[in-house]
Amino acid sequence: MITDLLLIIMFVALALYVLLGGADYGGGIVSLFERSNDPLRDKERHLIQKAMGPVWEANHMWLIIVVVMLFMGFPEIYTVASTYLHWPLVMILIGIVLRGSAFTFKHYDPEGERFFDHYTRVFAWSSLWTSFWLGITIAALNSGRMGETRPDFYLQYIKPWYHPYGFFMGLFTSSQFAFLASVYLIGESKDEALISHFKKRAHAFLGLMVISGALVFLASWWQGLDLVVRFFTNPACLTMIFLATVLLYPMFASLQKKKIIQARLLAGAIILFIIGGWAAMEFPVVIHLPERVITFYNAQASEATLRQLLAALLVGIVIIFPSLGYLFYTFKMKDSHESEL
Amino acid sequence: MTALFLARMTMAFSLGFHIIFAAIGMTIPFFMAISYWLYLKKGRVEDLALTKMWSKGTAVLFATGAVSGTVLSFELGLLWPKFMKFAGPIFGMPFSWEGTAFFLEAIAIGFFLYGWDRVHRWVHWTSTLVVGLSGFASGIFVVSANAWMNAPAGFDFNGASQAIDPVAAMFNKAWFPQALHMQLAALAAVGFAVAGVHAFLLLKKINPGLNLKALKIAMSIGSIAALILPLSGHYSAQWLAENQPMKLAAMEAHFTTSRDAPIIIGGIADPDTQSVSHSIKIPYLLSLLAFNDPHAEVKGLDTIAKEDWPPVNVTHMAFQIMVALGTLMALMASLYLFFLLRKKKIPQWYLRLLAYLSPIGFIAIEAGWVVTEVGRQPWIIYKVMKTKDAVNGMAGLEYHLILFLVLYGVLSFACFKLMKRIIHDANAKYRGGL
Repeated sequence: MITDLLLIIMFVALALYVLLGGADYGGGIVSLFERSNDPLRDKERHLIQKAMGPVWEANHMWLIIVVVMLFMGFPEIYTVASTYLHWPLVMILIGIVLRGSAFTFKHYDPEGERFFDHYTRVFAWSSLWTSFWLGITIAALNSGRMGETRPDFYLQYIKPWYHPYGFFMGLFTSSQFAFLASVYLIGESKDEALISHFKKRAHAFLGLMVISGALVFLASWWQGLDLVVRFFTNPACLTMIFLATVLLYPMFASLQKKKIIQARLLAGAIILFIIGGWAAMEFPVVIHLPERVITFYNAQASEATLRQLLAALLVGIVIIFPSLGYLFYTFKMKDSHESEL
Repeated sequence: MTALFLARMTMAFSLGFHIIFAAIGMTIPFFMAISYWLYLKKGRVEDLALTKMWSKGTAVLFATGAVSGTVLSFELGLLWPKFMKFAGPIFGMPFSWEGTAFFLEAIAIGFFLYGWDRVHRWVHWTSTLVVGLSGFASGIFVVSANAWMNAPAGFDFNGASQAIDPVAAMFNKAWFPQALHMQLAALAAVGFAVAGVHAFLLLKKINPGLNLKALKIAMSIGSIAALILPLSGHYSAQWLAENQPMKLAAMEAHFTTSRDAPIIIGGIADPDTQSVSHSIKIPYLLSLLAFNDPHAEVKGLDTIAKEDWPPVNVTHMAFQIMVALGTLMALMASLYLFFLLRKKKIPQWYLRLLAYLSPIGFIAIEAGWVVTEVGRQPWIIYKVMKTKDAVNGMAGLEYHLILFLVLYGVLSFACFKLMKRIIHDANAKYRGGL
């Protein structure tokens, strides 16, 4: 019971990370596609900056919450992943460090315009980099290649993640984030030219998502993983994918009708169903090892620990959710002129 | 280079980098709360300008602290998976609380940095205070996790950790002395560093009113903390005498268990001959300080097997550096308070000294952390798990270290240059009447 509550909280935290932090990464990825001769480029950049500014630090906290929940409540998952996926995790960290610093430095640099291109480049590429490696890490968990016991560096620390399935998952994750960012950014502006610009982007990234998603399955099948079977014979997965697809029409319709909040909620729901479908595919299995699987249940810590973790999280929720809500309300919904230093 | 050595160096470097920014992030908000309060109460534009100036630098340094903190949460597992497998469920609680506190801080700083005209002025001021308080709290929680490594509690020592009591783990015997000393150290170090920067600007005669105000706020807090630190340090050392005598022995290069134990100032210890050369020994002082009795027996390193000794020279030298700098800070603090209370103008020579000495608080913090971490060796969890049994044995850790050395090196350089630009620009704009 306690475990299940914790798993719900963890899924919510992960979902929020994808929907909020992921969109931040998406903002960077979208920046990559701007052309230097595009007259909208500066407007686009400033919009991304303004949208992310007050909320980016908070948005990325969800990852820390998930990490702490894992190492306290489900330690074997944390330690096994940290061991075999050492390098993808290091790559993610490098991306996180560069991204956060580039974004903040850019904003506060008095000579920001002089260095703007450099900062933006670092910010954009590190956003893509991090998203990619996040996808690679997710794919590695059920790739069935973790847990080599022979002391071979390649087999233990490279093979788990170095394959086409991981690569396409990286692409898929990145396009999801970029899609979310495009939709959200539409709602951040009243400029018609920008709005239509981001609408085109949203369509493009959605297309990329679908293609890379298909390639994920194709690559996994080619590598001998039965993910296609596992996914498409699982009623929960099918339901979620169906819902995700079906919501596309109302989402684009909302964008057309300028119903911004509705559009965002629907875009978020679509992504949520996609990741939900993925999680449902093998729940509660998290990691495939040669001789066994690690599930949330067999990796969980003792009852006393789980109880304390839950208590701490509940207190945290009571403190954080209203505060976060207030933050979002103040900066996203209250109609006010832009004001910052 | 073994995996153990590389992992240790990497962790030390990551922690050493992060703590500078974390210390700033959890103390400067209080300075800003003061200047902002002064503005709201008295309406002087100078105080508002100061608050905004400080907030620009804070935003940059806070972000660097946040990302380097994320690195640490991963590196605990990347470098020490066997440690985390055992310890995660036991000492995860302070990390959960730290997570909540830091989350609140991240939200509050979003408000503070971006909400100048969006919310009522006193609501905005409160956000400044919340940033400080939640940051401060998160520092206490994370130190509690480290304290657990020195004074493990809340689990069954004898076997698999079944009878886990995460609350007992969090409120272990060491958390109070450690948290007290660290939080004071942060206030002192940041107070001195900020005051030093403003002293430098004052010496250049840039915006004297503004920079003097800034210096006074920073130095007042820093000085009070610097004067309490010798007391909290003494309290910590007495705690060590009871609970981690071997760490104290290494700090003091005290090889032989004896009564009337002397304090050894300076010197190079030789673990083979168990002697210290080129030092000044003050008789009875160690016994007196450790146990309030000049004839008390102080345990030496000879109490345990030599292979279990912490590295003596590293620990001893780091300790001496920390105490020397701490003493210097206490002297500077006394002088400052003298000038303040006697309403004397701060002399140029003092400003010059303050400017040159700006980083000493941070150097002392790094030295202090070397003392407590190296002094705990060979244990990662004191008397429960050895560091060598906790490490990730993979090859290639040198690449991990090199990657982060380069990354943080580039980041530090960019950050330093940016801070210079921010300080210059803010002062120039203020002079220009903006």
